[in-house]
Amino acid sequence: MFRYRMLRILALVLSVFFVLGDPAKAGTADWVVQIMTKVVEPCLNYPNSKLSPLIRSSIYFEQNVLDPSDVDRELQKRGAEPDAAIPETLYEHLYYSHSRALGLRRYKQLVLKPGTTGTIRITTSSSSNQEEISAAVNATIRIYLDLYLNKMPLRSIVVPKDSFDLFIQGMQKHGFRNFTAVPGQFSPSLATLSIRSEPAGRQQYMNYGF
Amino acid sequence: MVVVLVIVIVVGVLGIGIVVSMMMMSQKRTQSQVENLSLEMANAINKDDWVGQMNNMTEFSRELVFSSRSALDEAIAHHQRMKPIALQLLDEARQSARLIEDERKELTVLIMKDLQKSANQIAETSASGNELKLPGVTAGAMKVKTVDAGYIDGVLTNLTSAEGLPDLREFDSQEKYITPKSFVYLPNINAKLPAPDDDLKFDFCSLPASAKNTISPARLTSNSVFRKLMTAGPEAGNDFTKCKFLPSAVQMISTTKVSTGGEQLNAPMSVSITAASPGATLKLP
Repeated sequence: MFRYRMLRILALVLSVFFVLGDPAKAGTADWVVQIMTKVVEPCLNYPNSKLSPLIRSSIYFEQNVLDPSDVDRELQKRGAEPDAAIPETLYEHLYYSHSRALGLRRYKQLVLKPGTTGTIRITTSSSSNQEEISAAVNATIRIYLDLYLNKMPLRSIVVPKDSFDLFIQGMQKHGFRNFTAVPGQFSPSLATLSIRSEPAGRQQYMNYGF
Repeated sequence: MVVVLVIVIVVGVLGIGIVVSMMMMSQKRTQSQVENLSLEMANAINKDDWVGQMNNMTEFSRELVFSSRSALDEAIAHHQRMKPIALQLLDEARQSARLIEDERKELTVLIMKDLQKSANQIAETSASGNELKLPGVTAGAMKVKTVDAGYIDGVLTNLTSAEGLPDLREFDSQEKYITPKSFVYLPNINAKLPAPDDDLKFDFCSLPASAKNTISPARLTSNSVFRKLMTAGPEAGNDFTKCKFLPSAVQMISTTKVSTGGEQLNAPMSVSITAASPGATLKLP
């Protein structure tokens, strides 16, 4: 039991290291939460409806389906049992209209292993507009809170490059602040977010509650 | 004398026969008309599945408030730093619940006004309708007496409780909001959340769910299972904001006057037809 706890602490310490580490290595994660946003039409489109157009964020999670990371290999060398893989699972649908979260349908409980780290990956439709990005931001914050409360450190948020600036602006509207990581002075916390673009090229650290 | 008496009796019997058959023909004609009109109106209630979608969105809004409240409670208990953002997300969820309740009322009024408009049009058209005349007997045109909006007794909602929120499912079971085995929400209830969110309204209406990928079509049904919510028409002046739930069925009562030799029968023939709206589609897209 003590040995297992030590291994978990080691994993957390190493994962915090990876938050500031080589961005290329941030591509691997214990778990991935995928947020896919799209406009749902036609739906609730009666005359003068305030609930249309409706935007849906579909949220999926998966764990241990990628090749083991350096941390995992190190832990396994030290005797840790690899966790069972969780295939891509629909977690919930969040519904939005006019940049406001309207509803939630949760299909499964979040069964990711506490203490493990991961990545949120955002996907929007090719013709994504501001409302869609706004929905993606809100869904990210709601999931981030879920993960935080369940003690699942978030390594990074991956956002499509062409939506990167709008995404950062959206996060700022919810009280997140840009943060410049100074080597040697950085005090990592669970509330530190690393947001990077896909394809690579943009990265921003953000904090909440400072 | 006897011959005259026989002739009088035969003529009398024939006369009664004509009147009875006239009444039956008239009733059949009226019934057929009313059936078609009732089906048209029932179909219009949920033709684009707005009722089903609103029922879904009401429940989804409820789940958002419940999960946001759970997150706030957890943040207060163990992660104070996250309390402001949890509070912000709960506020948003509660505001959305109020918005959806307002929109549900708007949709109810919209549907009721549409029913009233249809009832008025039918009343105008039927007033100038053709009479059916035979020597000595006249069946008047069909007149719409009332069009009531309501639901079908025994039909549940198109909603099931969320598998991913077991605490909410347990609460719903305790409050008897859902059926024990299939977890389907009961109709025409305000599914209040636990305090302090019990000030929010989550009204679910009766609507057949789809079964095995088949959507229940609009259909005629027995008058005895119809439960009235509110009269839609044809009279004006109804305050449709007082209609408590979204309707999912319609009952139309019409009358036809049959007169013999200019003398009107005491009681006009009445036809009452109930039609249920189409059910919900599979689920919200």
